[in-house]
Amino acid sequence: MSAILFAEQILNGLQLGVMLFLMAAGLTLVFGVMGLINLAHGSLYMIGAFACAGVATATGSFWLGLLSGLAAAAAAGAIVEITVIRRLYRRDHLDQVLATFALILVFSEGTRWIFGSFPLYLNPPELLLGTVVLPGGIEYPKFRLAIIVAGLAVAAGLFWLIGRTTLGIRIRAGECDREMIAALGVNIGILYTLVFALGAGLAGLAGAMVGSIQSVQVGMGEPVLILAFVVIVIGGIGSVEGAFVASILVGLADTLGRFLFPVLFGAFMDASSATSIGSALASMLIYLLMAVVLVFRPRGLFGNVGA
Amino acid sequence: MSAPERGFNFGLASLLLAVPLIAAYMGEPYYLTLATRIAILSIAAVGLNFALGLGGLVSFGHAAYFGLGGYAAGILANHALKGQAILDWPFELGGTTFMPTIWLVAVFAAGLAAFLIGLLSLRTTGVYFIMITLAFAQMLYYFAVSWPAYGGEDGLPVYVRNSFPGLNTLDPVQFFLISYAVLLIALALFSLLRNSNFGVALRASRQNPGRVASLGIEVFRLRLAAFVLSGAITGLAGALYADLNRFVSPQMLSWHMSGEIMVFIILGGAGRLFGPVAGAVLYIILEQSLGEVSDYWQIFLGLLLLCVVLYARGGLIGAVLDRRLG
Amino acid sequence: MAEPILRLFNLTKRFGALQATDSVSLDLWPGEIHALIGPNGAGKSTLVKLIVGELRQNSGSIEFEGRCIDALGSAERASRGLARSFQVSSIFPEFTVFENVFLAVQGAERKTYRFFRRALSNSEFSGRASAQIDRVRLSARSGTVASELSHGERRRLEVAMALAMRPKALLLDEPMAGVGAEGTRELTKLLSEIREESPILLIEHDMDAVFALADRISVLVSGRVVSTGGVAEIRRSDEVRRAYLGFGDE
Repeated sequence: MSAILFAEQILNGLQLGVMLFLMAAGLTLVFGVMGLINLAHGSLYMIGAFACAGVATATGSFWLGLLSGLAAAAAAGAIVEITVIRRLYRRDHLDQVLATFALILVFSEGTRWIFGSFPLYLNPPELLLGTVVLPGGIEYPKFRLAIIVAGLAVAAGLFWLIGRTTLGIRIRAGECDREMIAALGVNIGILYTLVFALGAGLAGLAGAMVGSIQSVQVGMGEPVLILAFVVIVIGGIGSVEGAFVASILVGLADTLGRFLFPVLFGAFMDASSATSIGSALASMLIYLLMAVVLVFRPRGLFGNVGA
Repeated sequence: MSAPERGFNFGLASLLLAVPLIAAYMGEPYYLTLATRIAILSIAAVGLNFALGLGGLVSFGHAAYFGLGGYAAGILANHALKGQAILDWPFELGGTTFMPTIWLVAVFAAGLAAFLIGLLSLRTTGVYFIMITLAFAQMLYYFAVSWPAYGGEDGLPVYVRNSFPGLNTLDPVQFFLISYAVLLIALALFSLLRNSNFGVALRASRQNPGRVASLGIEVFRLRLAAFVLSGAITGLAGALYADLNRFVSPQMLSWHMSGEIMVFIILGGAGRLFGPVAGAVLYIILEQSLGEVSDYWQIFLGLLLLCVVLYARGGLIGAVLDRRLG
Repeated sequence: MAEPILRLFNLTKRFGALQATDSVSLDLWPGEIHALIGPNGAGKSTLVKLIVGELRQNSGSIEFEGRCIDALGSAERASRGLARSFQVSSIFPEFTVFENVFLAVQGAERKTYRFFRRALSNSEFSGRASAQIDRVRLSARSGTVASELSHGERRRLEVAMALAMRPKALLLDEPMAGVGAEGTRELTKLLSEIREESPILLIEHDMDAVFALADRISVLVSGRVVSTGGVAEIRRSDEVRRAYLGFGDE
């Protein structure tokens, strides 16, 4: 195993991590502010990917596609919030789970209806084709590097938004006390729609970017949603900082586990069983990580009491 | 339980028994398979109803126990058929196609998994609990997908129908009757338990866990016991499901399965004895009838479910009984 | 009996910088009602939570029947005979009055892990539950779902549940709150009967009730016990007047 290969895997892990953060940030914000568990968050990711693929294919411009992905997911988020989700804030978690599960069925089948069952493929833009040579001689695809950079930039923007702007102050106030922010004269309905649309937009952006690495297909949001759940459980539900740390942690653990476990088992068994056992165990690694965190911190790394 | 509800339950149980048998007699065996599926999925949902309906534990990972039960059946039968031992060491353990043994193994495996998962996830409540149960079920799903020994992603065919002493399990009528009988036993168990000392405490813990502790009852232990029982019964359903389809795949472990089992309960009415049965009947009938109308029937199912959650709390039984009373 | 049932040694609890309970030492002897009074925010509720095991103290220790119970959880403390009622009524809203009290009997008898017999058919437990319901004069409401009870009835149900546990010590957190004059009179009579069965640590704002019932009174101010003594002594104490009785009365 060479150091370069290893460094490449770390970058891949980082890339998965920032993607997960874009997903998890919306989930954790929506839970933190509105107390809602949203299973349909993965569908918004899928909508972002399909809108991007559709528009990019039709217009030939990846950038237009990316923008459409973000906008379509944010718009879908706003519409769903106004028509369905806002009726669920005062309901118990069971109702929220069922209603958003129902939304998944609607979104997935609706997408299948429009785009068919075959996966779409999307090429990265001309500008980001090929590889770059990083310091240390690591050759890495430009597009993946761009995803890492874009993801980190969005994360920084989000932290700025929450920490420094009026909207952010209102969001944080909403986390603490709904009555208080209503008393401040903030229109809570609009604030909630905005927060939900923001989370949806981030998920859509993630979907749009990942669409150029993986195939775009119905159901693509679900594995990512589960990973995002693991992330926010580890990070502490409601905490954006926690989501960031946990995203990177989960991204790295998953990627390195899949890379290292087969190698590790290869040291004392034959190659084919090492690969199968290694990859089977690697698929469980992040869940074990979650279990360990839960044993020591039942409310996650950055969780506060009361969630 | 009110008298109208008792009447509803009796009617539903009779219909579920009579309709498929009459259909089979009239040369429509398809309905028999459908009813067998309903009965088995009902058992799975009755299992979840222990945790969800009585204990208020919103487990979104019951596919784990359903799938484990299924794989227990599949793996045992597979080894028996090939004549390979499952274990050579520390003791020799062969496969079997003997149903009672398979059921025992399925119940034990699912119960053990529920014990371990419960031990971790019951330390949390609310939305954490939902996500964690879901995550652990997904862990098993991905494990089944990536573990090639038993078919991995492609699943594991079971080339025989397992045997039950004195019965011909290959006869659809007899297999249906087995499944139906198991369902009745599961329902009887639910009914007994709900009104037992344990059931009273469990229902109390759903309403006000802190108060239960102040009466000297350890809530964690109470919930863990309910969770294990719940998982074990859902595991038994999984073993029957494997036999019905003669096939086991990671699909049984997927979160759609978890969602469906939960939907049965809510469609029918959570915490009610026959809620899971009513829900499963309704769901399967909808699946069949909507499936004929459109390939994209899940859209309509989703919209319907959305309406039930938003406007018709109390599920089918609640709606039926309320109308009668009102 | 020459030994207190319940004994607190230098119990201290901090929340961040706030000293909610500051080195509190108290005891409760068989046959007595020991009232704990103090202004809002004095730390009475925190103290109750420490005693029943819902919170853990930072330092100090709690003895129950001569044994240290610091390491025990709240359920274990309750099943050893430390019963409580809640400041804000805490009942099982979907259960009937009878079922609420029945569960208290069942909990105290550690008979929760019985799976197959119909719980309510246990005549011994049922009898005990009915007797306590009788005692708080809720018999007519025995079959009523608890969520439909009036405020005063809920308070009485709380007391019945605590009594049904046959406790060795009873912690009552403001049982008279909001029950009205008639309710207070009734409860006062009931509590003074109970004292022989089980000593009571009574947290109460109603001073008439406290002076009528208490054998001893401790005054809690800002997390500290500023004074402990008999009723007459506390009435006379300047310190208590200043710290507590002065509020509102003058």
